[in-house]
Amino acid sequence: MKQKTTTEPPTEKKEEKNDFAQELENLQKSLVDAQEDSRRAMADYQNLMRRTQEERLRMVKLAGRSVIEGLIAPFEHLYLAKAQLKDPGLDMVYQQFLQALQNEGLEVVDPLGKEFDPHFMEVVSKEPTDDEKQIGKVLKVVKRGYKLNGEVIEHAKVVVGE
Amino acid sequence: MANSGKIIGIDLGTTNSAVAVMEGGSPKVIPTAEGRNTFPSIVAFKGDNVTVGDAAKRQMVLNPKSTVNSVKRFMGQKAKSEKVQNAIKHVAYDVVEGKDGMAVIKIDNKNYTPQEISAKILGKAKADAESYLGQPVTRAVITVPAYFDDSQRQATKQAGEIAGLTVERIVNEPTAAALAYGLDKKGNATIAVYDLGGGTFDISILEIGDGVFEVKSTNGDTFLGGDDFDSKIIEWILSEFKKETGKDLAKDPQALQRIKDAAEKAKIELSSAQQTEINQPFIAQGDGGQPLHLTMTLTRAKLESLVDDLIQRSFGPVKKAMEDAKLKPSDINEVVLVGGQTRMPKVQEEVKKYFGREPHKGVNPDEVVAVGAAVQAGVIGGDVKDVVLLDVTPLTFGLETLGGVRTPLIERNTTIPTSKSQIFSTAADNQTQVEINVLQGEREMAADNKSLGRFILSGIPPAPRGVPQVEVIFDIDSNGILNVTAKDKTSGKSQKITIQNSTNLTKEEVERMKADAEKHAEDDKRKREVIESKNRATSVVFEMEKQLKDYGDKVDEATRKGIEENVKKLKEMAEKADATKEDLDKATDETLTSAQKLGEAMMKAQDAANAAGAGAGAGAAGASGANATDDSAKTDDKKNDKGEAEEGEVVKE
Repeated sequence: MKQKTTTEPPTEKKEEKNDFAQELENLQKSLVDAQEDSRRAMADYQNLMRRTQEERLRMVKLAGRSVIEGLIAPFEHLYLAKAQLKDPGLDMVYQQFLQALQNEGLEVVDPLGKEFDPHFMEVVSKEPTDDEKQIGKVLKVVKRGYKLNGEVIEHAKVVVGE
Repeated sequence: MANSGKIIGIDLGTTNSAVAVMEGGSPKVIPTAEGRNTFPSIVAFKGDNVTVGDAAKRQMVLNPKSTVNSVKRFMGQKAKSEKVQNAIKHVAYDVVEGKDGMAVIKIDNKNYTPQEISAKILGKAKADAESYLGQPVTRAVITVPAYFDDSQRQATKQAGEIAGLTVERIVNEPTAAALAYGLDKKGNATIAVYDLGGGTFDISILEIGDGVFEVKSTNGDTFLGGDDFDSKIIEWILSEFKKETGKDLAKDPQALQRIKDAAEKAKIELSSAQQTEINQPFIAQGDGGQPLHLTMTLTRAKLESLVDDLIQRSFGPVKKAMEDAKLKPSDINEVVLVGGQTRMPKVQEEVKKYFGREPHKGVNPDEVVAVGAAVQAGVIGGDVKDVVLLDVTPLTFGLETLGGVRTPLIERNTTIPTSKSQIFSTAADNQTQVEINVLQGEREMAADNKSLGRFILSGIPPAPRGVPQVEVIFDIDSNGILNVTAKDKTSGKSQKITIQNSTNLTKEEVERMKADAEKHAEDDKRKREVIESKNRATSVVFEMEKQLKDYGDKVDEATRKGIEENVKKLKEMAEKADATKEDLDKATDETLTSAQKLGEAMMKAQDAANAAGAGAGAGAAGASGANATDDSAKTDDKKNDKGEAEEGEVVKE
């Protein structure tokens, strides 16, 4: 009876071993990559959680901001009217409006005479001045600034002495 | 570590800059410290102090000589070149010849290269990104105009390095815009990018093939932008006012500032409205000291006629770019809009008319270049791979709870893989098993949803209703395989079902089920409310019957009879098919109110028992009783318990 030899030629076995070794290496690399991806995803998630929380606090703080911002223009116009018309009734209306807005956390920033500060003000023009003390100071307020709960929502527009 | 950390994408613009980063596979524009998504590309020097962005812009008028805007116009350019000489006319600060004849900025007798100035802008972008990400940022992709030459690109790279950033790549702005819309995934295409920003206009024709972008041609107008559109409106307002009142407000800086603001606001409003009111009371004083008011109506049609020549002006460079690329408008496959001014409907209409196709405009046009830079950054950093984008469940998964109601566990459009668990309990005393009916759909009642499978968890130790804690976990893997596990926390027993192809619905099926749910939303809500009221009523009946049995003799006859009457009425009502929520709630409240004396008797008995050290507790008196555990509903005790899963492609543990 013929017997089939079961011994494989040595070179084929060596190649097979190399293939396995290569596959193992590839799989190990894939595993490392996948673990890294997973860690990154978790890190992104944690960062998102943290930022969501911060944003939520910020939203609470600035809740109602768009309503208040919409009221600033007519409020400023009322202020101009009060200044020009000099009517006691109009003064009363203005005060009431101001109080109502202040109750919502609004603060009027009127920087007349103050040192110019770009964090709260925007220069719209400059005016020459002979008084040295007035250089760099706010000579005119074109539009007052506003803060809501401590955060600037509108920068005052000013004319500064030079 | 050399290659760690996120790579940010920076749009270093002439007028404004923005920065974005890939997060969770999507680009996110990083807000500045001031809370806005873009910031002015302006750097101000005051002594040793350097301010960048909005604060620098706000003091520009005061310190024009030491505030640098539009420095991009001088990057990598020779001082004597025509471009630089032209640009110098538009800036207030000094530009002089520096080393090798290159243009440099002179501030307070000190020369700064444009790279150094740009580095300040990039430094702010870096700092804002670090603050947002909570980690150091050392790598960036920065965008430049497609027409930038080698010297200009090198200068931009240097600016990044000065700012402490390794510039992983310099990307063309139009290419970034195309990436933001995923146009690199659309195979071969010819793309036109129409970029109308605050101060400049650029048109670029690109070709994409095998994922590689090639710039076929570029053209533009370096002094055409949104600011010019504002100027047209301002001019119109001034001329109209002069016609009406004879007063020239251009000479009044305060009035002029108000008009500038009003003009910009009107322009923005007219992108969505057909007309807008420009109202500025007390704008000035007349010769007689009387107040003058500015009040005008600006219609969209009027605005379009005012700026028509500006829009048409932009098509001069467009036509030249097409000629240079040897293309006709019909050869363009995709059109992308960049820059805030492209929000104007007339601009969009003209672009559509010229190219004969709808332009891409879904991404915020102020941010699209930064978004594209972030996409490129993500590819380089390995955040964006060609493999899987996460899937979402198209429909809600839930289970059936007491009264035939569907309690949702995983809402539709939840990104998968995901896992959600909730604690449930039993509906009756000594209930030793619960049936879990896994449902998919948007309807409120279980019967109106698709049942994916059922199984029973048995072996729950006997206990009063609402006491056992059965944790039900829904887990969907990224292949859409849903595993539902129910586990009794006391005995530790658990049972599980696996549902294959839980997300394998056709789009039509999904839409139909959603539409169905919307149609029946009101009805379903009412049905659910009635059932919840019935459940509450049944719970109260059960509790009251128990309390009457235990403490009925501790109250007077009249009170006891009254409570019994109410309990009987409530029980009958809860069993009626047509009982309303209002009637049930009213009857439940009346029963509870009438049973207050019983509650008092219970408490007295409890105190006496405590005092005597017997320590026996009874349930809380007058409790609403419906929900024994927080956020829990009760699962039904099926009369025909089968103990095995009923349907669906299921595999049981």
